[in-house]
Amino acid sequence: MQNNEGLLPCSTEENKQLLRHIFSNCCDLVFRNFEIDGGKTSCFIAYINGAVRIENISESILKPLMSTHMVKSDASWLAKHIKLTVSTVCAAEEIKTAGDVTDRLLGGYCLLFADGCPTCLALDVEGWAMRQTGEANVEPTLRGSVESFVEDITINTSLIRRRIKTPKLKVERMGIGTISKTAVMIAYIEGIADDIVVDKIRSRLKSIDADMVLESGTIENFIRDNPYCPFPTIEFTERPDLSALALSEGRVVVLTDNAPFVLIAPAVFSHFFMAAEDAFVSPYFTVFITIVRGLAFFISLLAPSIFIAITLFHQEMIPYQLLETLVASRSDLPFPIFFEVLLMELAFDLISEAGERLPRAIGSSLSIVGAIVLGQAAIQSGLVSPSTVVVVAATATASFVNPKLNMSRASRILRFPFMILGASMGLFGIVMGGLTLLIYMVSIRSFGVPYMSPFSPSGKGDWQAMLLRLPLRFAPQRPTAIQKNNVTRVKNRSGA
Amino acid sequence: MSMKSIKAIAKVVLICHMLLLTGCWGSMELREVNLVTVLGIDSAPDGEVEVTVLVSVPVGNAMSQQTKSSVWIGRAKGNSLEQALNHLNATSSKALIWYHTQVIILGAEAAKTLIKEFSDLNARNREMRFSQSVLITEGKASELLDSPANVLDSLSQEIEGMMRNTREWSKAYASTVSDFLSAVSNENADALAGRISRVMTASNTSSVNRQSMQSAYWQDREYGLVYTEGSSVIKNGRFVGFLDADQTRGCLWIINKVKKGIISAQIDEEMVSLEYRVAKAEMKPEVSGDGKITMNIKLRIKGSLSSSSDDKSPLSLADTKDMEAAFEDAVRHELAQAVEKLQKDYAADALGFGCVIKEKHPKLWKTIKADWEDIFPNIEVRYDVNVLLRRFGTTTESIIKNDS
Repeated sequence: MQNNEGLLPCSTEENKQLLRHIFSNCCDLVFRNFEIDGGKTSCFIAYINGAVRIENISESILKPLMSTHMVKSDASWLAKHIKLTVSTVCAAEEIKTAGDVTDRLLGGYCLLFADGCPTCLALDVEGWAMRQTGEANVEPTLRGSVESFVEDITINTSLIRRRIKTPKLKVERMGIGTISKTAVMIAYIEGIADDIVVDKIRSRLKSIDADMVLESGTIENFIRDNPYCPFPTIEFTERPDLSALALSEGRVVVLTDNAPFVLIAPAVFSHFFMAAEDAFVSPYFTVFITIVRGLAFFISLLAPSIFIAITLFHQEMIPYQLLETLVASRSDLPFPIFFEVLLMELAFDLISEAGERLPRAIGSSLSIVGAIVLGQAAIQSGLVSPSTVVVVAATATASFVNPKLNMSRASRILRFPFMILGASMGLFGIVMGGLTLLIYMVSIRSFGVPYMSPFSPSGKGDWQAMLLRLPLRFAPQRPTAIQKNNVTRVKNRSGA
Repeated sequence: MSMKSIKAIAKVVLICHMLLLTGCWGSMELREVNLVTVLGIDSAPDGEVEVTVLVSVPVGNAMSQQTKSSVWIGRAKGNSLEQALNHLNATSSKALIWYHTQVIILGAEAAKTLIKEFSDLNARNREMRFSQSVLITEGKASELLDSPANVLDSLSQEIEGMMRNTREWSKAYASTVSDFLSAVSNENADALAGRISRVMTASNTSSVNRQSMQSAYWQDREYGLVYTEGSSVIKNGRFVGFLDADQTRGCLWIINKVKKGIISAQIDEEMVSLEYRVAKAEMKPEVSGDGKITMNIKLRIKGSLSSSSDDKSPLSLADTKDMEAAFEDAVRHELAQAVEKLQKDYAADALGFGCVIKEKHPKLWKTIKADWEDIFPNIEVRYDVNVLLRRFGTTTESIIKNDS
């Protein structure tokens, strides 16, 4: 018996034996025997059930082979004759080794063996059960395409390719995962994307030595610059239009097979405050809504801690009338304010997590419980004060504003250390914590791009292109912090 | 121990040191505080200091946000002001916080003896705000603070509102702690401070509070009604006396604190009124050869006519001039009586003549500074008042004619 690396045997029986040995106890391997050349040559095809499209096999392989009169000439006959004149399958290649045989079988190819041939023919009839393009659920927009990526990487690349019709859009393929053998593709536009960044991503992807890659998140964590950084340094998106936009900005898109989310790198802090539709609406609105998002981030990060700090340490900062109300509403509450806010924050996180995990049908009952029990009833039972509920509700709402899920999650996590700082050291603690965070943030990089650019280092021309996503007419240049090859996007700004 | 672990330990120690700068012990739960809104200071007969505080005790529960703050009137005595304040804790149920004190009222006696102590307390204490109003009252502050609030929830809110209103009529002086401290610390001049008074009245008003109060008190009992009008004069760190409403405005014209208000003048037995909006005064000392000092006060007022007489039309230039002249006379009279009161009755340079002389004639000031108290009452003051009638409202003539 030959090993996997060896050449294939000539006889169909031996080949069948070989496959049965490699795929022992794999019931989804299917063989189909038939004869050609008037019964003189026995052949068989093998494929993995479910990985192929059965109609393709019968229509494009079996039918032409069995209905054509052929005369076997020599050993290379199979490869040349059938590939060139008989089979109507689009992609076909000759396979010589047993290792390739397993790869192709698992990749959804149908293998054709003929007696007496030292090679076999791999015919692409891949047809996994896959959904076609879906609708963007995670990043919905009011304006713009509603398409989203799907699990099939070839559909995903096609969705990008459809939006960028230039041969300069390069899509490089590699397999990652020793057992999952997941296809991962790097897409970038040559001449716009920075070669150094592309090289970095390529080499980091190559150095991944994991067995399973199920989602782009697995890869994200392997190729990030600072694996322990609480802030995301790689953007992810399910939107092909956003990916195309990112490519045109000189960024690199990493697609993972079986994952409807692609990665966009490099991504700096301000990228996480841009939504897809920002580039399609009035520039005034873009500016306004970006400021609102920034504000929401600060509220979501700091509102509970500032509330705690001011009520505990800095009562003089509260206007008299408000202070009177606050004191009155807190006069018969059992818990210290820190504990109270913590309680309500945790309650909110419970609701939020339960809402994410619950089947949609039960979700509405959860929202009733959440709204009534944790809002009104918590106040009426004398557990928390209405002001705390207001602060927690404002915080919760603000944390939903961010268009990028991973950034709002970062602020959700960091909220708690800030609350502890606020409760133990007041505003001083919050300022110290904020400074520490800021120092850390200016120190991190995303594939060589400073995370806080264009703030620090301040990029002179990058403000309009990096701080917010203005419509193209108002942001005619690519940010230089990401690439310097090709800066001009719009040559004539005057339009008509 | 490796260098790395030493560094790590050093970092932890340094961060712990940071915690020493401030910490949990500085915190105060909101349910543990009472808000002092008004502080009254009196001197007790036996040389002690008596303080009276109005403390807002917000009550309520979580269900209904806030019912209504009840006001606790706290009293304490002590050898010194600070001690008396400290003794308040003996009767207070919660910690007293002073950030939101809006008004400080000094009884007349206390204002004579305790201003130095009071100023020091305010300047050193970091809980007191410099925006609080400082007022002096005729009798005892404690008696004044017994008065019920008229309309609003608490007396402090009412007094604060009255202080805000002074800019509408400028016959009362609203001095804040910062004004007060800078005035009493100025060694070249004396100072003005606010004044608060109380009348006993049985008259009824239609406010809800008044009704509820009447049902609680004896029906025919008189109760105090607090009002702010006029100002008080402080000389060499001691309170010396009050100025009435007109005198106060006379002073405020000169020190440029007049914002808005009405001045009336008589023309041919009829009253005409001016609503002034802009007033700018300037003091210029003049020293004659023999060292005699004359103070020239130049006052420019701009305003609009708010009521006019029949036979004076604001459309006529001559009539306008007449009216302006009448207003000028009225203002001049007000200025003169205010200055005379300060010069003759109190000999207190509350208008800051000394400062102006020091600015313009520093050498002269050095020689006369010591005797200023004697020189000031005899300084001749000249008034140059100019009223400019700029607008006459929406009608030119009076609505009702006398003759018709």
